[in-house]
Amino acid sequence: MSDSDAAPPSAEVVARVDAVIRDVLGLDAGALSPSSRLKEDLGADSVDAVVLVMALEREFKGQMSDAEAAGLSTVGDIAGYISLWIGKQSS
Amino acid sequence: MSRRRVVVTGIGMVSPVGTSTAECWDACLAGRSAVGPIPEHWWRWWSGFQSTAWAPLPAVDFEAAGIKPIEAMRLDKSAMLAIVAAGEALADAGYQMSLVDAKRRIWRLDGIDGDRAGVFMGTGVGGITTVIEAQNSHLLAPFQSLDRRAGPEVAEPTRDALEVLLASVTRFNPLAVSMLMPNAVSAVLGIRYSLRGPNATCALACAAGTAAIGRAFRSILCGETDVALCGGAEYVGDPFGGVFRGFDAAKTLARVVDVPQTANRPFDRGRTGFLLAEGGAAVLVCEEMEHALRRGARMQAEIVGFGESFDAYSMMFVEPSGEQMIRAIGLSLDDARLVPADVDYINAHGTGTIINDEVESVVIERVFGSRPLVNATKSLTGHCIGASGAIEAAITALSLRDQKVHGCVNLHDPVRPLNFARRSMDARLITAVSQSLAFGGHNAALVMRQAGPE
Repeated sequence: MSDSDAAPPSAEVVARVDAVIRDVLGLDAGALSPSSRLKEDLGADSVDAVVLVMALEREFKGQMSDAEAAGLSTVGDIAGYISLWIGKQSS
Repeated sequence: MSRRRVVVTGIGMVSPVGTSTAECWDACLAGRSAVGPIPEHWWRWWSGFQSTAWAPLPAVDFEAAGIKPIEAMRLDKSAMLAIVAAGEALADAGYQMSLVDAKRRIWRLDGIDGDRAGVFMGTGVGGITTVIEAQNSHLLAPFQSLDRRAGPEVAEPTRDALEVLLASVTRFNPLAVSMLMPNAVSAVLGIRYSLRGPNATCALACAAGTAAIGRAFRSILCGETDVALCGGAEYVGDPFGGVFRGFDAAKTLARVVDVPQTANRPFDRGRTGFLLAEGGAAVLVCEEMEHALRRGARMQAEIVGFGESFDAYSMMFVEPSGEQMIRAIGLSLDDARLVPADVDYINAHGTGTIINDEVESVVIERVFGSRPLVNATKSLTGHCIGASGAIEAAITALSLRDQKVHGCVNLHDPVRPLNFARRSMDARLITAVSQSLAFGGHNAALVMRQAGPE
């Protein structure tokens, strides 16, 4: 799926995604930007990655496929994915 | 060189009668027991439970205890209960801590050399709830999409049950292994508080908490550690009542004869079995006495002896002569360089099963006669399995500290004429014994004394 033509994620989705990521990785406010890479920039290990998927599922009430989750490498990727996901649920 | 001495400087506790040490101790002294019907959704129409009562836990505020919701996804409930108790015990002991790793939730305790601090925790069934939840996901996820294909020919209760069950299927927890392994609780505490000395788990069923404290005592005594977090934690409230059924099918649980409140009656002739508790945890901060004195810590009790033995007789039944229980108690007293006549109070195993109370009461009479006060904390808390010995050791320490004993609830017609505490009372207590026995045949006893530097 291409998200190039999707609307940018809302500020509310970005804030909620940021909060979940910071909670999982134990980071302070302001530590993230959309281009932050989970592994390389934020130090996420493989356990963090699975906890992050569970935490996002809980926050946004749904189930992510493991294959799709594996393709998300930056904070912005996640916010975009969640935004599409919410769009699909509400449409 | 004189023998090192081991004191209890902190106590933390969660049990069916309270979510803190003060709440639990107050409830015990007030005779407030915990008993309630088992949950309605527990497959009762299929399982034919013989017992219908247990001791549920009150709501525990895990966030207030410093456990973030995100951590709950990677911890079995037994570990969460252990963290609540350990945090309370460390605060009670006067230890300050500072966060050193926000992601991994690791603190460092001020005034502790982590290399000389150990963790010794008991468990009966490890992360059993995680096992059951993970297998629920593993086995039933494929059926979620079948969407009630069984149709109207399936009996209604069965269909309802299946719908509840299928709706409960969630992602298979990728952290299940680290949550269910029996050593998880000890490891979680060692990581959380940066304790890098011996880190051990005692899987000795209902004697686990007692044995874990005994091992911590010996570790400090021999100079291997100066401080230890020790005790036990258990959680058996799985979503389907599977653990309850295991004990129920073995015909070990208390029957509700009259009303649930009278089902749990250790040492009474009308007893029918033990009241299973949903869970619980107790953690003691044990400390070498000079270490405690140097930092001005309050000493709540002293541990002076530990003994253990094994029946080598039956997985499920206490050996009827009680010889090995007697030997464990004797070894603990020898270790303390005391004799039975020195003992003022016995916190008995007192489960309320026919055989346990029969044999244990004979053992107490043979070893101690009828002078020392005897009670059974399980008459109030129900049976917290791997946490029970730790909860009872904690109650014994509090009894020595406050010079009070709680009563045995529902004890009206004693199995034997021992000096049972029928109600709470003030008592002159210098020496006490807390004893436990377990499925498998394990026996363990701790001897504790009123704290004082003499």
